[in-house]
Amino acid sequence: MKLRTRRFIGSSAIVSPPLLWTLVFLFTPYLILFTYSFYLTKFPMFVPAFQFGNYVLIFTDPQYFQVLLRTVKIASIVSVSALLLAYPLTYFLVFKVQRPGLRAALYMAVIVPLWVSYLLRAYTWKTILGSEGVLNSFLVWSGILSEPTDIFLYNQFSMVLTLTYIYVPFMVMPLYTALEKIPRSVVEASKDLGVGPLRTFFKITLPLSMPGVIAGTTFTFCLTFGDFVAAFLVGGPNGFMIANIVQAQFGTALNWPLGAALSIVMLMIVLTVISLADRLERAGRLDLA
Amino acid sequence: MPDIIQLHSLTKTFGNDIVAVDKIDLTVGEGEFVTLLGPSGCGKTTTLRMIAGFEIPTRGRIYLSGDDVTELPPYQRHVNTVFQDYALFPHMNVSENVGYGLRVGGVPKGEIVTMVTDMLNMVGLIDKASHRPNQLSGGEKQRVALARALVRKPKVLLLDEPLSALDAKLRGAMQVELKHLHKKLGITFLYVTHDQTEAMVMSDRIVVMDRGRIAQLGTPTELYDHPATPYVANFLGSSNMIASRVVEVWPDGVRLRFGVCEIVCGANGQRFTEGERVTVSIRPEKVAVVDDRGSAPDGFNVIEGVVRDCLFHGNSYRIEVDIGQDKPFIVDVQLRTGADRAVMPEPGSAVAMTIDPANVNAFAAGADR
Repeated sequence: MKLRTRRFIGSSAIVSPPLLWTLVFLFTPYLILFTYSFYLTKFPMFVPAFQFGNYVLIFTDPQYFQVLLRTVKIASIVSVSALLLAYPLTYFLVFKVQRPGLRAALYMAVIVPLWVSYLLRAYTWKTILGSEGVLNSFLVWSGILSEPTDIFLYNQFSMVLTLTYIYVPFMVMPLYTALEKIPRSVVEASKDLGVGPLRTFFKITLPLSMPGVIAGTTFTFCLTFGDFVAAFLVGGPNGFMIANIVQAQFGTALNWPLGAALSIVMLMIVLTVISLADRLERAGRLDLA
Repeated sequence: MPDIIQLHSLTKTFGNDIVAVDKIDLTVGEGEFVTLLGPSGCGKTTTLRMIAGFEIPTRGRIYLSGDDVTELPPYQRHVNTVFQDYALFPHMNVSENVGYGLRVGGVPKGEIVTMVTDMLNMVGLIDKASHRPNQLSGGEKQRVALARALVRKPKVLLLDEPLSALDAKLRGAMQVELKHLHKKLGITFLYVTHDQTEAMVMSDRIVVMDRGRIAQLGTPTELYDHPATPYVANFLGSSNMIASRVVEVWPDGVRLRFGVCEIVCGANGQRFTEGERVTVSIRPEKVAVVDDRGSAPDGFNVIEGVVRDCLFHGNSYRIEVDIGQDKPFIVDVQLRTGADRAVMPEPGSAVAMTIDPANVNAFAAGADR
């Protein structure tokens, strides 16, 4: 057998299983979803058709686009809060913790929660924030409140809190990588040239860590945007996310075409965010080595 | 010449037991080119980093033009550093890199442009002003780092092995260029290197460091001709080091014996006693090979031996002579104009070598502490 043929067979053998997997379990479902988004609903049947009624409904019925806007809002607030929490922490880990062992241990402490079931982590906040929860018990015990309050749970506040807690590690990881890549000598050079620590941070460290900021924000935004479990556990009526509506369309509401159209809209939003981030990252891509 | 840098028993320890720099005292005069020379781990870079302000001394003081700067952060010291890895800002182009310290320092815009242009002209990079660091070669990056440090007109320029990442040819050219630049600007240069040739080519004075301490301090010729310890003799150039015993002492000289050979050398201010063990150091190029011992000049030492090997080095020969010691005795013979290659001795032939007593250094055993 010729070498070229053998190489072709070899590389095909390597690439075929994953390719087949993605084709069957990723692209095919998307294709089906996309087709369904144009169907008509004649309860309890779905009639094959090619019409944009489902999409029009999403953008005209406030019930849908307001939830969409709220989801974007919550995802944005969560991304910004996660960034504001994670950046100082990661900066401290990378630049201020001298002992490598301690640094690794603290980094792991941030990552370890990812190994605990998502459901459990979200549920924890229910026990903390609920009217019988840890926070209320403490406030009543310390005399700040005379009786438990229910303002902590089942609203957008509890949503943002829970989602920020859950997705902070996804912000820390890329930030850590980005900050660790910055050569210490570059930061030292700035100070050597008469520039104080604060300006050095804004002129050197922050610009050089932008790839991490972009990646972390994108992760957090996209993951939050598609989340429905947190809303289910701590969201309440005002904390409903777009993914909850999608779930309902495929469940109790039994309107698959609308659910499919909503999914496609979500997919488009996420893809837009990712490609924007990619373009930003490309524009600022630097050779740090 | 006023003193610009003064180090008073400067000490730096890392952790509990690693002493990087051990009670160093050093004074550098204004406009001097001083090199800290030593192998890695001898404390030379730590010393430089303490002067720059990146490391806080454990003990001791640092004075710059008479002011105590020991506690000052790096951005308040009138020194600038050229880093080993250049440390250019990757998100800025060449002129932004050079102008960085001026922009933040509040220099008017028009003035910055002039100063940056002048500096880029000086290092010959004016046509690369808008290039990013990753578009530059190693030598060009080096020049940008130099321009960036010099544009702030520091009192002292600190250079941390700035040429170690360049290839040998470029390194040689940059050595000369740096030396000329130093002469032209009149700024004090404090240079760190592990390359003895580099140190000898450029420096007014060399500080040879060994395990955190100063082994010897002096001009390149002083250090080369009269090393204070075997360590210095070995680190600057190469030397034949021979364990010997003192057989005769007179006021300004000694007679030493190793194997069957006896040689005479000056005491160089050291006090020897008869029977004492010493180490003799003789530079390979300060030895002449003669056909018979009768032709040696008066008062010269003569050592006889058998040629073990004769190695051609292009512009010189290295002759290894067996003189009854563990290691062969090395002689370097320069090929001068008209010298005949054919006269080089054959392996196995007996030769005599003559050495001026002034070119022999004897060290008391334990001179490296």
